[in-house]
Amino acid sequence: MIELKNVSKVYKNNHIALSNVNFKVQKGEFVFLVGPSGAGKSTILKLLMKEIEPTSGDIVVNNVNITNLKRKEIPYYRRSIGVVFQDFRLLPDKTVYENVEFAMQIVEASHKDIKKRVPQVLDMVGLYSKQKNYPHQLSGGEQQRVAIARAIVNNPKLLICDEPTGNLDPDTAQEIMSLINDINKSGTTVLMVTHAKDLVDRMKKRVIAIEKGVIVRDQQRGVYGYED
Amino acid sequence: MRINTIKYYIKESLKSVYRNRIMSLASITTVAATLFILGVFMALAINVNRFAANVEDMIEITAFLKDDVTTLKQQELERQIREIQGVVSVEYESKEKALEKFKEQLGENKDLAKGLEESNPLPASFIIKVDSPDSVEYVSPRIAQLEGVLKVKDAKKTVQTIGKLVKIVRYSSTVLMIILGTISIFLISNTIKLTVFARKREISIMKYIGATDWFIRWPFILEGLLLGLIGGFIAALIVENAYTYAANAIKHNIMIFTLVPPQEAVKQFWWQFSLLGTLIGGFGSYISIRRFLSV
Repeated sequence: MIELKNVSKVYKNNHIALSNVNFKVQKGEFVFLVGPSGAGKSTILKLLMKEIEPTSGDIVVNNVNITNLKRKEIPYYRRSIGVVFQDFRLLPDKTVYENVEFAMQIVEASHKDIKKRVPQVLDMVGLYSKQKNYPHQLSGGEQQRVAIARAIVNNPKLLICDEPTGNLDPDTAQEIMSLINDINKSGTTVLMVTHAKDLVDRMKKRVIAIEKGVIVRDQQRGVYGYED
Repeated sequence: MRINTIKYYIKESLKSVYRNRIMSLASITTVAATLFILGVFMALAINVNRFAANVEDMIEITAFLKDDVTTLKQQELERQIREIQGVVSVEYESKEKALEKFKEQLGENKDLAKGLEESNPLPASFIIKVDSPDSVEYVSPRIAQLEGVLKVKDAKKTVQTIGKLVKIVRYSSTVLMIILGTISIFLISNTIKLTVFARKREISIMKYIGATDWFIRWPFILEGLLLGLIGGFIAALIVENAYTYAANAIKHNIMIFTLVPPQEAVKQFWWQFSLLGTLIGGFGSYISIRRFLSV
């Protein structure tokens, strides 16, 4: 599903964010990406989202080498991945329903498909009854559920999560984690950057640890491995 | 492109116009002002051109005579004029005849000329016809040189004067239009810039979800087009109504001169101006999108 081959990234200020990173993620896997701040986790996510280009190396996602993707092709590539952020990134002047609908409008889905799919996804994340609410009327956990609904509404093969529980209390974080776990079980590959030690330890999923731009540990059924 | 998507674009651009209503209003006003000036100039040009065309037909030279020219001298003058190359006919018009003609021109208002008989201010004249409009240039100065001729008037001069006037009006209105056009493009691009900034967050989210560049751009372009279109339409509406009003007023009050009827002169303005305004608007939003929407 994901393959990084000798990927290095040097930023313009000569800061080496990644040096010779290699790893593979199989289809349907659930992988945690952990490590101290500034280790290069965000750089990997940005590379996968085609927000930045690698200095060297190749990145293959879903059998497509995205390293040399043309500008015009990037939006279509992004449609094959869903993204969930720590700060939810919902549109404040749109309702829950409209926020999710928006993701389908962008990919120019038909009116019929939108009407069918949006309630389905909202039901799946448990927010069917709140579809007419605005983001500010929801709790943090509920807002993150909307963001997840938006990320998966177009059936992406890969779900990228950037500290999805970072702004949530432990109980809510646990709920969000199990929701993402359910999505993973239905076949979506999940790559998650997180600092949630307890959750990582409890989930017993594959853990890739990165420090100073180098992978230092890659463990099946792994643990967080840092003291916060 | 789906109907659904087009509906989305239109909805988004309308929302934006409403959200930035002050800037939108300013943009619309400058577009309208620019095209209003263009309209005034075009209406003027249409009338001047028609007038010039009419004058051109009359290849006549009028030579006014000094009051002290005797009958003998007058006959001598007539003979001299006939000898000039290009002259076809010479007709004498006495002071009395001139006054009569003037009264005729006044029509209902001929009372105004009452009392002029005692000390007639109108000069006697020769009306000279030439063989072609080009001859006027050659014949006119030769007549002017003759002794006893007060002044020579020919249509060529009138045409030239009008031509000069048209040039002045054309240059000044072109300059004015360029200035105002630049301002309107600038204002529209500024309006779009504000919209882009206000929606930075939305745009970045759209990019993550996989919106294409054009999906993001279209609502902004439509917004600019819409502002220009409304401005152009308003300008056409004002020019058309003002012109119709002026044409009617002149027709009823000043008999000897009429404007080209509105049906001929300004009836096309509404679509021409709407199109021009739309172009201005499109250009404005294009600039802004190029500079501020690096999608």
